[in-house]
Amino acid sequence: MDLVFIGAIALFYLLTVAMAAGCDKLGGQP
Amino acid sequence: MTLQSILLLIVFLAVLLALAWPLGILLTRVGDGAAGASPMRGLGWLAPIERLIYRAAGVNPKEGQGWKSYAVSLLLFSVIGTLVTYGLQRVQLWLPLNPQAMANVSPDSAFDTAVSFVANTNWQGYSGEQTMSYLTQMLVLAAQNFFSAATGIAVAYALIRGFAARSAQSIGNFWVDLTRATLYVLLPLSLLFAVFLMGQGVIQNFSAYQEVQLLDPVTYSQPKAGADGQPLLDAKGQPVTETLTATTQTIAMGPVASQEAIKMLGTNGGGFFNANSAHPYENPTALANFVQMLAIFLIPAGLCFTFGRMVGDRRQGWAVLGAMTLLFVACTLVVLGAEQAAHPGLQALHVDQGMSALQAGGNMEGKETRFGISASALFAAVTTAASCGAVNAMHDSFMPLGGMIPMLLIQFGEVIFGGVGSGLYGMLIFAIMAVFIAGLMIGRTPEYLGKKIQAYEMKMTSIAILVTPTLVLAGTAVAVLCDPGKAGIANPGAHGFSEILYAFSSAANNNGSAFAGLSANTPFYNSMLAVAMWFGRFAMIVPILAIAGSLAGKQRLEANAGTMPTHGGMFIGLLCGVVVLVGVLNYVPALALGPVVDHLQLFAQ
Repeated sequence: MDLVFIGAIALFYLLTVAMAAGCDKLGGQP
Repeated sequence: MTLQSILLLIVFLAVLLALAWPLGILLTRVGDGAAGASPMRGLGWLAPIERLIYRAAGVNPKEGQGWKSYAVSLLLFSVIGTLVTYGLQRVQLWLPLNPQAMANVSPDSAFDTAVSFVANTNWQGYSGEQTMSYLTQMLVLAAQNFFSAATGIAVAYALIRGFAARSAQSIGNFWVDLTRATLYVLLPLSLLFAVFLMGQGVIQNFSAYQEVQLLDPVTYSQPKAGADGQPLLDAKGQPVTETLTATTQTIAMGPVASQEAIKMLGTNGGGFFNANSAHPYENPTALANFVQMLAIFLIPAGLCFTFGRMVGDRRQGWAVLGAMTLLFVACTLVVLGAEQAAHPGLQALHVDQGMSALQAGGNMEGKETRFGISASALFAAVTTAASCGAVNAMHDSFMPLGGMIPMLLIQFGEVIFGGVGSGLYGMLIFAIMAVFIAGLMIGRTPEYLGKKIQAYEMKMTSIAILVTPTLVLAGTAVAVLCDPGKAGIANPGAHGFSEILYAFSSAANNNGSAFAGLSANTPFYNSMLAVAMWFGRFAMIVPILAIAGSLAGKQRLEANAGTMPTHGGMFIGLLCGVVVLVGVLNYVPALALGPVVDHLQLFAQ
């Protein structure tokens, strides 16, 4: 079970980093 | 509502204002000052430690970060903190400072708790004195109380710099903001507050739990269990009970004061004990209770003054603080009135519920007699207006309307003072929304503090505002539709729905308090609430940092005759209106199914 929850934490991180990349793609200044 | 409760509210706000003003100056110097330089006399000895931290971490404190770099640093720091917090809970049995030999925390509970403390929520599915070793309480839970609060302050600094900067590429350096907020603000304040709390009777030790003789033996009955652990039933199908007499009581010990201080100052709210600030070892006296309430609002209020100073117009800080105070007072008066009123069920039994020299009167279920109605109701409003979530009374036992207002304060997005840092950046997002709406009404491109608010800022603002209602309403819907979600409900009907709605509102808005009848330490709730907590925190921070980066890169325009002033009464009214309107539009249907029906059923009897 530990691997499942550690994987979930890593997934949370990756999803929020992906969200940052998505926000960047929406436009705005650098 | 009584004269005493009104006076308590007035004195509370007056003392808060007097303390927040100088703290705002310190916070400005911490955010505006050069890395490695002390922000004030008396803290100079910390500057070499600050520089040592940068060297050890390989951080160049002079290097500014764009918003993406700032966001990735913040997320990386948070995910490492989550993994460490999870890991230590899973091995605490084999580590020192565990006099009660607490077992390793179960995987799903450790997961929920790790996310909870990193997200500044401190939702606790577990009971502290029955689950956590002293090492776990200190090394990861208390440490995350500092780091999650410092992270919130860092994001607030970044957004303020976005408004204050002129055509800049950088919004600051996350590692510098994190270090300076922890070293110069949170640690010194926590040390002072912890010593004060110890003077009031909060314990601070590493002792094993104490077994003490009761002055009067207590006789009680409980259901008798069979060999399989299930309750035994008699021939009529009724539970068989057995009568027991207790002559001793186990009193939990531990390093409480050191954790209690940052629990309040960092608007974390996670108690050392299960009863949180209702426990006499966490919150022993009326004075300790008053100072704990001040500690919750202190940094959020101070940051309003910091905002005004850093953008070069102190009136802007007063305007934000004014909007927060106006909404807070209105909501608090409702809670005070609802809780001081008589309970109709007890009224029918002719129970005296009036206030007198001998009793607080009103709805005292779930409240401490040493605090009474006024200090309990005010604490509930403070802890839910801020994203603290510490409780000195059980919100689940409040009257339906008395419990609805704390839930609504959470659902407003924790922007009425709000969390450390998060309250200010949340309210500034609503300010952007307010000037956008005003711009639509008068046909001008909206501006805030000389920065044009354009399509990109509004896209990010919309995401930031809609993240938490989506998590709350979707999570609640899933929970009431499936058996594991319904299994946790303590009260059937409307109040049971309120318990679930409160849980997801609290998690997604990073409050952490509960209608605690809900049995939430299950794999279902631990997983669902962890999702709500993580994305309620970080899926809001990311678009806010994007706004900070976008604003920092813009010119700062001079105000002219057509610029809408954002420091006067009209803007304060507009800002309050936008906060209430967004909250009401999102949540009124759900509130109607929960506390509103609960209220109507109670008073229809």
